[in-house]
Amino acid sequence: MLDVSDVTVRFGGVTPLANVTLHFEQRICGLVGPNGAGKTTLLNVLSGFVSPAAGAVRCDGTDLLRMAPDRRARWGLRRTFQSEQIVGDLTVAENVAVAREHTASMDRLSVSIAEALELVGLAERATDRAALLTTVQRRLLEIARAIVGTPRLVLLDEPGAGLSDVETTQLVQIIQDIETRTEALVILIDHDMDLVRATCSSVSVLDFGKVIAHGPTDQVLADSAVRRAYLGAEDVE
Amino acid sequence: MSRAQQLCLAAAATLVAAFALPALANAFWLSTAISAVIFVLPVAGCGLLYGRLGILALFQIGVLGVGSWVALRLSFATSLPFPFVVVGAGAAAAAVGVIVSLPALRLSKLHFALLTLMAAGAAEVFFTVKGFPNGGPGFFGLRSALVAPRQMPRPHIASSEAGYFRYALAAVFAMGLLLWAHVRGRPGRAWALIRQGTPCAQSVGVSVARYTLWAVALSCFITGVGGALFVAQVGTTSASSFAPADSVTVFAVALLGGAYSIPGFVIGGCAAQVIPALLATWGINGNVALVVFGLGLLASLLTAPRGAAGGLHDLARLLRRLQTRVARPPEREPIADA
Repeated sequence: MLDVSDVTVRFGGVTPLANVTLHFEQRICGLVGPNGAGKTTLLNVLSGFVSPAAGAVRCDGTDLLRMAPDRRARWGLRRTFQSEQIVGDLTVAENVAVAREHTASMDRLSVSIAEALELVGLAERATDRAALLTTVQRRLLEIARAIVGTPRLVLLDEPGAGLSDVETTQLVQIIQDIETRTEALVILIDHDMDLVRATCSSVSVLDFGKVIAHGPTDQVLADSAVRRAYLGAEDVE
Repeated sequence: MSRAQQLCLAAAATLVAAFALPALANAFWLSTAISAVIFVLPVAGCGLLYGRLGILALFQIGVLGVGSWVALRLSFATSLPFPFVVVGAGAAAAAVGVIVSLPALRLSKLHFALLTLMAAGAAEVFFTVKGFPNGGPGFFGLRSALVAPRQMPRPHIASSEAGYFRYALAAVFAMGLLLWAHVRGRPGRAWALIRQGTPCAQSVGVSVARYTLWAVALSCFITGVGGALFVAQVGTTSASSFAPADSVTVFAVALLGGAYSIPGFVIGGCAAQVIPALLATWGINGNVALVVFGLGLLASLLTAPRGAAGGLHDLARLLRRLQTRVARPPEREPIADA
């Protein structure tokens, strides 16, 4: 379980997150909101790339804010990025191996490199240079890198951006497989509501750095305040 | 080409050079060849940091001097065998490199470059003031100016020029293997992620500080070994051999040869010594070499960003593709029956 308590982030005069309090209990949780709502900032707080001015973040009883980003990764916090961060010079397998080398414990629940690649459908490309992959494949490779070993908390930052319907269907299956193959809590940020609806049991909605809704996915996505935040006040009756 | 094939090719090329060059070259060119082989090491040290981590370090010549200083000191003060002196010089250079780099880790890459250049300047000041050990007593090991300085002894098996060329070649090959093992292994993968971006590396648990220092230590170790080999070649040395500005030349030839691969370091290191020697044989001032390096660097950056080694690699791939096409002509469409 992940508890975010009263987290506030300030960049000079801008406050992208103001007293955000969220509890992520389900295995796959969505985090949605219009552009500039503070979703990625919250992910950066969780992964340690942004230090909050105030607040606390605890996951399974561990205080994440006390750890440096690389220590959080070794603890089991993994993430993907909005603009994928795959190393083109390394092979597909090496891109995953590097995560396993630095974070994995060798317990029986650990996901091997081959399993991670198989899960995202890249097993046959294992020895190819990552630079030869398509954009979609690179996104999937980043997911494989996030789930190899023993992840505890996986943060997926807009993995569905730019994907076709077929590719999104494949992504839904992959995210659901993460739930069965690992014990990680998955937090998914995406603008594709079909993807969020198909994968997430609960959803939290941010708008202008504040939580405006939190709860079961269907209930939250039907909320008038959420629709107003996404579509604008005039478009919602 | 598989890793085993790459290793076999490198070993074969080293063996051919070890026996062909001493047989073919005169004393001048053999001496130049020794210098060229040794100069591969500082170029490799510089190229490792730039090519793998994107860090511009401008202290390679200073580190080379540290290697020379420590090698002289160990050689005169102890009865250690030559290989231990060389490794000791490398280890001392690595320690100095790490100490210099530690405060710079949180700085930008530009500041790191400036700091390392300043460190090279500080090393030159030290060498100028304190000199290089020449067999005298005390910590600095200096003899009176009235007494002839002692020459650093070479290993017995490498007392001749040809023997020392082979010895230096073997040492450089060993350093190449060390570098190759790192680049192909766990540290190399971590460095690739650091080069991609600090968040990228940290997000998979890579400790950026530890792996950056590891790269600096390896780079300086290799360069320090080069310093020991250099001073054993010339016997004794002085501060004028380690001008900080020469570190910029090292960086330039690393880019010229190719900072992303070991063959690039070899090309760069050899070019740095062979081009001035060629100019000297043609009666042209050796400083013209700097102009040649500058023009070469400009051409390399504009046409082959991966340097000469990258260009040769692309050419080899093109030739292989052409060869495959010639060996397998396109299928003709079947002639339709009338």
